[in-house]
Amino acid sequence: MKKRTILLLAAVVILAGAFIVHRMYNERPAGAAEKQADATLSAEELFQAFSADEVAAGKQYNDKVVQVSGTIREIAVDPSGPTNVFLGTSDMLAAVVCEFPPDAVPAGWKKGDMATIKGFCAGFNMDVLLQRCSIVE
Amino acid sequence: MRTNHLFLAASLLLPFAADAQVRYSTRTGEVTFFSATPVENIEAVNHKATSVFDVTTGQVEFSLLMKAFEFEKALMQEHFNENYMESNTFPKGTFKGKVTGITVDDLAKPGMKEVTIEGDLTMHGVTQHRTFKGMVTIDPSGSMLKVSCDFVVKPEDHKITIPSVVRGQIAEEIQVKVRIDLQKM
Repeated sequence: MKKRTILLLAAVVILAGAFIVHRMYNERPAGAAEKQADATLSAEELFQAFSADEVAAGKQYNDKVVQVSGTIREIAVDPSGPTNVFLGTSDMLAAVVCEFPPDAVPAGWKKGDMATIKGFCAGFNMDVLLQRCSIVE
Repeated sequence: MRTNHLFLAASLLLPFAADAQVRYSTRTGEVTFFSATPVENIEAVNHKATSVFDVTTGQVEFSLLMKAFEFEKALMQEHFNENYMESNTFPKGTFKGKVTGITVDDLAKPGMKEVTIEGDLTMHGVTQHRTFKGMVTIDPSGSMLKVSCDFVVKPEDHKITIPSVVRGQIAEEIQVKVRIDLQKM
């Protein structure tokens, strides 16, 4: 009887462990919605930080949840990818690009509106890129 | 030269060389890589590759952020950036080279052209001279070029170390697909 109980407990522990490992292994990359912002600043300030020192800004912001506020310069829907919201900077050739899942951008948002967005910073390649974004306001 | 400096330089020079230079660019190019093994398949996509192509000279530049590759599984994305690509140390992948097989005259002829792309591919801080075949589809208006190019990358060619414990889960040859729509500048 005792041996059966031990075997049963061992089986339960093994199954629970396998379930947890399976869940962890298959977990999808987190979105910014369920995360607190690690840094809050304007789109211009974020762009200036990368423009001045890409390496230092990368150390400070990459992989962090960054909340930015700025003016929408453009909203571009990529049929095969994310919807991109471009927050303007003082450089007409550069923006803070915020990637949203398809249909996650409010229909009412338009060029010239102010927006506050948070997302995971991926770095600087012409634009500063924020991924898996969510709307703050 | 940083890519946005290249864009700025190109924009400033454009009025003086409008007749001579025919340039196309994108900042939303798509690059997908695929690793297939009997254990599992791994796929990731990057929607933010930047590229400038000067049809007049054939010069092409291409750049992407390693951290912008998105995986289905968080753990794969973490291992890719931290263990294999070391994306904090080597944040970008770049290609600089020359495209042959298309000229400015071809831009007036909508359709597909097979091209050869030769140049330096840099990943993980290691540069390899490579030659690829690609297809360029010329839009009827001549204002857009759709470029597709498929090639293979071997991790060891770029000193990317795969631990033996996961060797069976990662292909020895990674298939890479590049799909970019270049707009006339």
